[in-house]
Amino acid sequence: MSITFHSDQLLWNAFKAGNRDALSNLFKTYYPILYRYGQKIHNNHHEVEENIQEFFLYLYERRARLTTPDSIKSYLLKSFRRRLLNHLEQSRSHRKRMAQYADQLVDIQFSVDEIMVRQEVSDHIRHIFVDMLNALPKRQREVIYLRYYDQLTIAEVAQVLSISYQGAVNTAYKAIKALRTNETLSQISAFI
Amino acid sequence: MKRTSFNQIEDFLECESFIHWAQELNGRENIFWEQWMECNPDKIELIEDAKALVKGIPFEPREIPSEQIASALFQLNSRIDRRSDRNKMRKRRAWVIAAAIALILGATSWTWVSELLNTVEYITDYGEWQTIELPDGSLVSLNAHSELKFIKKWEDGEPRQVWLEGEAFFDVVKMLDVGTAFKVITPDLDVEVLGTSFNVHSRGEQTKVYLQEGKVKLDLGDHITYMDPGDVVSYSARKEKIVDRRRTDAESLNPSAWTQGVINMKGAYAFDIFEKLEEIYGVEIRVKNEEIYTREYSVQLPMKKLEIVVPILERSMKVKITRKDQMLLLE
Repeated sequence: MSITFHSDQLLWNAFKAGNRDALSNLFKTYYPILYRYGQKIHNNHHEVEENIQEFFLYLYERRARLTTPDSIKSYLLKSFRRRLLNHLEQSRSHRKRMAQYADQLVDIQFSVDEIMVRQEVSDHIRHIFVDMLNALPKRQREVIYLRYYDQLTIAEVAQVLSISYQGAVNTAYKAIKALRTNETLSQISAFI
Repeated sequence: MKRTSFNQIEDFLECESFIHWAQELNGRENIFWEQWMECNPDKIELIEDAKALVKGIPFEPREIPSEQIASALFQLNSRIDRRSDRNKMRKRRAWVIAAAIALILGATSWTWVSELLNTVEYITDYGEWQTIELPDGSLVSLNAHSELKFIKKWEDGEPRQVWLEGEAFFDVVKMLDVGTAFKVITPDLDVEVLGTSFNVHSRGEQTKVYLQEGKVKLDLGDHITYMDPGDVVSYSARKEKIVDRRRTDAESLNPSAWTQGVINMKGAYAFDIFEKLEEIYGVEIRVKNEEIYTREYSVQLPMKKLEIVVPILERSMKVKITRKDQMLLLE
């Protein structure tokens, strides 16, 4: 579902004014994106669901004080990500918190059934490709997820992860380069 | 217009014509780019990478069943309704008291009654603090961006009640008279005491009560719990449960430290420091590097205007802060 920038902004303004239809519309549009991302970060259906609920309640209650973002999608993903990580952070032991940044909790894994099926490619090769994806560094996987799975622009990816545009380009580039320079390149050329 | 030089990956990514070609949309661009590659054999590697970057990976996102979305939305709507009902109930309660007193005094003394019943309202803005003396002599320190309401005149023997949204520290005068309980009503819970000092923090998500001295009773709607000095209880009406209960041992964690005129956070995550500042000053804090969130800092900030606080924050966190209206950018 894609909404033009203009009506996206109207939607946001209506939401800020307390319009419940706008809230429903916003929720229906972004729930799938947030839910999928949440599940990738934390594989617990109930907790992800609960965090989405609380996130929207929080947005609704604070609506009058919210700023109008350039991109609602990246704004929501960013705040939700921060919230979910904070939630996960609280359930970790003190020692674990010391050892790892919350950011490193994001360990996105892809599965074979999430790769588009192309007839000329065998199951075996699809498995090889997914293994290669999952072997990338965590940060690269998250950038890949946001850019190609969620179809965010590079600028939006940068926003979600609070990194520079240049940083997002470099990370995506490194990932693509790593996939392309793999020795099984000829076999995976169907994907990339 | 096409650029004349393509030297690095971004040059391609910012070029619309290139993106069209890379997406294999078969436009007029094809000829141009094929020729370009022939003329620039040294850049074939780079252009292939850029092409792959544009084309990306063909993912097939998991479908979320529409029933799941509908039921989640239903849940959200009923939570919002329940919450606003609760708020309405609180308001009604004040009217019930008003009506009850009016009945006792009779209709003739209405003007006097309405003046008596006038509620006093104190509202602090972002970056503003206030100390308020209640009709019984109890003292309230009202933190920034908070709201305190109470009825102007308190009758002996009547429960003393205040309504709070935001954060306040209470130093309650002990009343020997039984029944003159002191009550703080928040959207989440009621705090009932008999003379003690405690901090109530009621914002957005939940209400957190910190008891410094004495004994308090928490009325959570369906059940009651008691607190001892040093206890910190966080309750969420939305979840209908106590979300956190702990005892503070370290002075650094004292939730009422702000009443001393300082924001004192020792060994706190930058994330928590930012949340606190956002709450008090209504600013939005953005960071250049997200890694800072999980770093620990000890800061001691005077509760003064933001202009005064920012340079101190810069020094104690060793960061550079640029302020743009209500946004602080940390580098």
